[in-house]
This record gives sequence, structure tokens and C-alpha cells, in this order.
Amino acid sequence: MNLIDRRVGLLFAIFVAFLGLVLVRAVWVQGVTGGTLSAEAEGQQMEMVEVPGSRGTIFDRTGRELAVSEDAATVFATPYQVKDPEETAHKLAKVLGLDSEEVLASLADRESGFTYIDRKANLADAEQIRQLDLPGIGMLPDSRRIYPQGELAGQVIGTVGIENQGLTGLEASEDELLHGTDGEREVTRDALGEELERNTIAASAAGSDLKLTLDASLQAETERVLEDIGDTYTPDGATAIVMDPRTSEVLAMANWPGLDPSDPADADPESLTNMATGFTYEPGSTFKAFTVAGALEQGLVTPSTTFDLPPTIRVADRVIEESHARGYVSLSVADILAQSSNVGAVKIGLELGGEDFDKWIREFGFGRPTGVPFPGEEQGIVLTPDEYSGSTMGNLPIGQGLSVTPMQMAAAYAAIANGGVLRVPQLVLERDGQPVTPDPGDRVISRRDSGDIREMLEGVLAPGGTASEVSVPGYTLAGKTGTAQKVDPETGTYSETEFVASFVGFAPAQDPQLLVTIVVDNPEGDYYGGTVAAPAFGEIARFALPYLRVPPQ
Amino acid sequence: MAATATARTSAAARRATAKRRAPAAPARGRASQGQITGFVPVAAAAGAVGGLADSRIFVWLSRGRLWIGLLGALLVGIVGLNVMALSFSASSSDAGQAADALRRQNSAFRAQIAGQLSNSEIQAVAAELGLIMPGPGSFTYVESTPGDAARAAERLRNGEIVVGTGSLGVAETVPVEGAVAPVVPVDPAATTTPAAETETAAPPTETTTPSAETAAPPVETAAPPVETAAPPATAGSGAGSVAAP
Repeated sequence: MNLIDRRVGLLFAIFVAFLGLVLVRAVWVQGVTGGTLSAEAEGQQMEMVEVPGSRGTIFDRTGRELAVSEDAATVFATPYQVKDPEETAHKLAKVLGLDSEEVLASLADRESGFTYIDRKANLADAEQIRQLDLPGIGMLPDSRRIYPQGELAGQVIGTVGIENQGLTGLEASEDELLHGTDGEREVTRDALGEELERNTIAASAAGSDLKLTLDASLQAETERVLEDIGDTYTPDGATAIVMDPRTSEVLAMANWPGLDPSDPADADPESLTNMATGFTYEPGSTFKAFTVAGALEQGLVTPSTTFDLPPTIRVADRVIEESHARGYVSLSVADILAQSSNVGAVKIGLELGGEDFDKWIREFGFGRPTGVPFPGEEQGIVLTPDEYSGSTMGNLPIGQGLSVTPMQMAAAYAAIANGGVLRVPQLVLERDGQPVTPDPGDRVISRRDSGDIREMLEGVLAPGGTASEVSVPGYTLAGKTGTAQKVDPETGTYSETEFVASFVGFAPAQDPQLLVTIVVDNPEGDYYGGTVAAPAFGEIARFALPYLRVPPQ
Repeated sequence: MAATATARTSAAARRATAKRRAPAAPARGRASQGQITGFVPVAAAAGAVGGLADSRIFVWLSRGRLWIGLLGALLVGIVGLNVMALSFSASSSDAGQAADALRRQNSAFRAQIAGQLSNSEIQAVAAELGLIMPGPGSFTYVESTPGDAARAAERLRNGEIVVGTGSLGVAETVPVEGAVAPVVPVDPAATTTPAAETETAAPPTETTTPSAETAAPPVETAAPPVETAAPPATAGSGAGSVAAP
């Protein structure tokens, strides 16, 4: 071997050794530590992003949006990557309108790999933060609920939680329909964090839409009227239901005080309740219409049947008197309703008897939920005849000793107004574009008797009636006032200072196309249904009748 | 030179070997016939590959410099393909981001529009325009008579009625003759389905329709100057005209 050959051989050996080292290293990197390194690389370059499926829109009956979803951003931090926590906290707080101390506190745990800074931030703020390019601060897609009409129908529409799940109202009861399906996306980023590639693992899908029977304009007017009641009488609460008695479609369902559904956290827990379905009260005189309806259907009385009425009447150990003291009178059934005579109603109830009375009030739907598609509907309390005491039939015919919800009263009066058919109140017009089949209803009283009752109820708003000061030019009105004493929880007896004032009315009297139920809980100053609630009916009807294009008589 | 000569010798030797091998292959094939027939195709394929390796073109290619260029081009192509794939991914990602941004903008705009069409906003704008909420007494309902359509057609022909000015600020009285419509009481319970009940209860006649409310002078109506059928909030629903106070 000459020198050149030896050198070539040496070079060859070096190359072989080097290649051997490379081979060993390759085996080590790929075979032994490959899995770990691959996982680390994936962690640095790839991330799984959840893409929220936005909730469906809630519309009113005219197509106006009551609740819509808007894209938003969740701002988060990886504290150990944040270089200057104080400066970062200051900048974030300024853009997001947060307290910088709180932001700084959330960045304080330097070992933490994740912390929320702000959830459901609006996109303009998110864009500002993106431009700040703060190390350790990131954003995730999110969705938030917007209520374009503000507090309008807040309790009815309801609220959603931080994860976009329905919490109260229709947002909760229709959550399955409204809730979208979240998607998932795999994003690959380069060393600078720029997106290189995205793969959709599961596509997100928006929820379905919901169209309500509510009319935003009517709802707004009804809420305005309730607000006036709230300002004037400062009650514990008030509610109003506006209904088309022909179909039992709920056109407005308002509560006072209202609720801002976009900020449920700051709301008084009681204001989350929809009084129309969740408030139970003794209906008082508004219930007399059903006492009379039962007696009419049984053929025991006619509108002109006359009763001789003493100033008071004793039933077992209880003496029932009129709201305003009077002497002996003779009143027809129509007058008993118009003047809201307690003694007269008790006499009619006693003629009907406990068993039949119970049968008729249950026919009208009392003692069970109406079935309106709204969560948490109360069913009220109606005693069974075997629970009656000796004086029970001195209470029930005048609307004491039982409790109902405003919605039950509205549904039952709708049956009187529409010719005798009780229907489940309808609150949803369309689900996902498909019309909801209306309830055909059950006939509870004859058309003739319902017509008689309507005529008798006209007398309530006629001269001499308990709501004679209420009128709407061009229209005939009918209805019934109610002033019920509340039970004092301390003494267990009827309070002399706390009342529930109510009114249920409809118009036009002989062809009702509008029905309004007003219930005012514990008004101050005045407490009669005829002076507190009935004028509100007049105000609502004055707006609603022309609005609904109901021609005057 | 010595290396070239050696190479030539080797090539000549390979060609000689190939020549020697060529007739041997069928002989092996024939010898194996009837004994291990399954090896015949494999052997034939191996022979063919061997033949290819010794072929002139292959030798020319492997000894020439063209393959270097070819391999280089292939490598560049592979790298290029990878770069292109990455570029497409990045473009796709950019497009996805742009689509996301547009979707977010749309959702923000939709929420914004919904807010601007809210009841309170519309009422505020209506109030700024001087529109008022008509009271129940402000409405006049009149009944159409059989000749009304013909008369209206005649007026349209004569240019007395101008349709669709589209102006919110102008509202004219309704030039339709007739008396106040008698309302036919309809008993909702007379029909069994709610839909039927709804239909029967529609106002029989109402002349405050947009088509009739334009420039023609009022004829025989006792209507007040303000003659409206809908509150401001429903101006877009076609419920009727809204008059200035």
C-alpha cells in the first residue's frame, strides 16, 4: 500500500465512523426519543381550537330579533410566557375595561399554563389586543348573546350562561333547539405563531331559530304601562298578559320590574321569575265569573235570575260581607258580577254545591299548569272537595281559599271570550321554521253561556260597574276586577294592608280579539282592581286594538 | 488512461458474460419444466432485470452525467412540491382566517342592525320625525262598495291617484267613499280550527291601505286629518300609513 492508498483508507474509515455516529444518533432520535420529541413538537406547533356553534335567533311574531348571537373572543394568558406582567395587565385592563389589579392577580401565578383574562370580549377589543402583540396572551373564538331590544320581555326570553347554555326562560326550555353544536379545529403554527395550516376536525353548527307569538311593539307598550303602575303604586311586582283569545296566542307577557337578560348576574333573583306563570295568588273577584259560568252551565241560574242579598252571609263559622257595606238588596246574576257582590257570588256558589263547583273550576283549567311552553310554570292550589271545611264554600266562589297563576286566569277567561273553548296558551309560533300546531282546545261551556257571561261582564265597565271609568273610544269592553287580600304569613289570616289588585278584560265585548290580564302584587296607595289594574287594561287596549287592526263597533 | 482501459475491459467482460448468460436462461427454464414450474416466471423476471442492468442504455445512463441532472431536477421537484403544498396550506389557512373574519363581521353587523331596528330605536327615530302614536279615535274604517274598484281604476287611469311616493313625511287623507263598516260579529267557537277563526275575524274593510292613501282629495269622509292605521314601530310591516301630526 502506498501513502495515497493509506490516506484514502483513513478518510474512508473516518467517513464510516462519522456515518456510524450519524446512524446511531438517528436511531436514538427517531427510535428512542422520537415519541417524546414528536409530542413536544406537536405541542409547540399544533393546537386544538374549539369553535363554538352560535345559538339560534329568537324572533317575535313579526320577525324582529329578540335574541341573537354574535361572535366574540375569549382572552386568555399563559402566565409563564408573560414577560412583563404589570405592563401586560395595564394594557389588557385598559382595552377590556377591567381592573388592572385583578388582571395582574390572574397573571400572578407564574407556574400556571392557562388563565382566563376576559370571556366574551367584543371583537373590536379583541382586535386591539391582537395588535398589541403581547407575549403570553392569546385569544379563542367564542360567541355571546345579544338582546337587541334591551330589557324587552327579559323574563320570557330568559338568560344564558357563560358556556352559552340556557339558564332561565325560553333560553332554557328551548335550549335543545337553540343551542348550536361546537366544532373542533386543528391549527398548525410556525415558530412565529403564524397559522400554517388548519384542519377542521368537526364542523360547528348554529342552533335553530325560534319564532314567538309575542309582538315586540305590543310587548313594549305593555311593559310601558306596567312601568307606570310600578312608578305610581310601587308594588312588589306586576305582570300583564296580552292574548288573542281566539287562538290563545300570547301577544305580550310583561313583568315589572324588568330584567336585563344580558346581565343576569346583577339581577335580583326574584326578578328572574316570570310572574305570569310563576306567581300564584288568590284571584278574588275575578274568579266570580267561573262561579257564575258553572251555575249557568248547570242551568241553576240565568243572567236575569234575581237573588235577595242580605248585607252579610254566614257560612259555617265565617261571615262574608261586601267590600263596601250596604243594606238588603235584590240583584240579578248580571248585577252580582257587575257590582262584584261577594254575598251574591257565595249564594250562587252554595246553590252550585262543592262537588259541582270543583268540577267546573277544574274544567276551566285551575289546579294544573296550563301547559304553556315555559319552564317552571306553577299550577296553583285548588282543594279537592274532600278537603273542604264547612266554610270553604264561603270562600271559593269569591276567589279566596285557592291560588291561581295569571296565565291560568288568562287561559280560562280566553275560554269565556272565545265561545267556550279552553286552549293551551301558545307562546311559540315556529320552531326551526316549522309552524307549531296550535291546540284545538276543549269545549268547557256552551257558546250561548259564554255569550251570556261576556254580556254580563260588559256591565263591569258600564256605569255602576266596578271599572266604569275605563273606556276605549269606539270599542265595547268587558272584564272583571279583582281585589284579593293577601295572607299575612305571621298571623295566617287575611291581611288588612296587603292586596293583590287584578283585572281581566277583553274587547270587543261580543267579538273578543284581545284579552288582557293584569295582576299587581301589593300596590301602595290604592289597592282596588278597578282603580289600579283596570286603567292599565284600558291603556293597553287603547294601543292594541287599532294596532291589531280590530275595527271599532 | 489506465483506469479507462480497466473500465473498458470490465465492460467488455460484462458484455461477454451477458452473451454467455443469454442462452443459458432458457436452458435453465427448460430444465426446470416439469420439476419446479412455479420458479419459471420469477426466474424469467430476474433474467429480464439482469438483462436490463446490462443493457446498453442503462450502462450509458449510469456512466453518463445526465442522471446527475435528472436526480437534481427530481430533488428540486420534490422540494418544490413540498413548498407548494405548504404554500397552499398557508393560503388555505389565510382564506379560512379571512372567512372567519368576515363571518365575525357579519355577526357583528347583524347584531348592530338588530339593535338599530329595535322598538325603542324606531320609536326614537319616529319621534324625531315628528310622528305620533295615533289614538283609537283617530281611525276611520269605511266599507267598500261594489263600484269602488272601478272608480279607483278610473282615478288611477286619470292620474288622480298616485301610488307609492315612499315618503314618510307626507301623508294624505284616504280618498275612499263609503260608510263606516258594520262589524259582523264572528263567534270564534263557531269553527273548530284556530286558523279558520283567525281568518273570519279579519277586519272586513279597511281603507287605510298604502295603495289608497295618496294625493287624491278626500271624498265624503269624516276622517280627521291624521288618519293612520299603525304605530310608528310597525311602519315597515305594511300595516298602514303613519301621518305627521
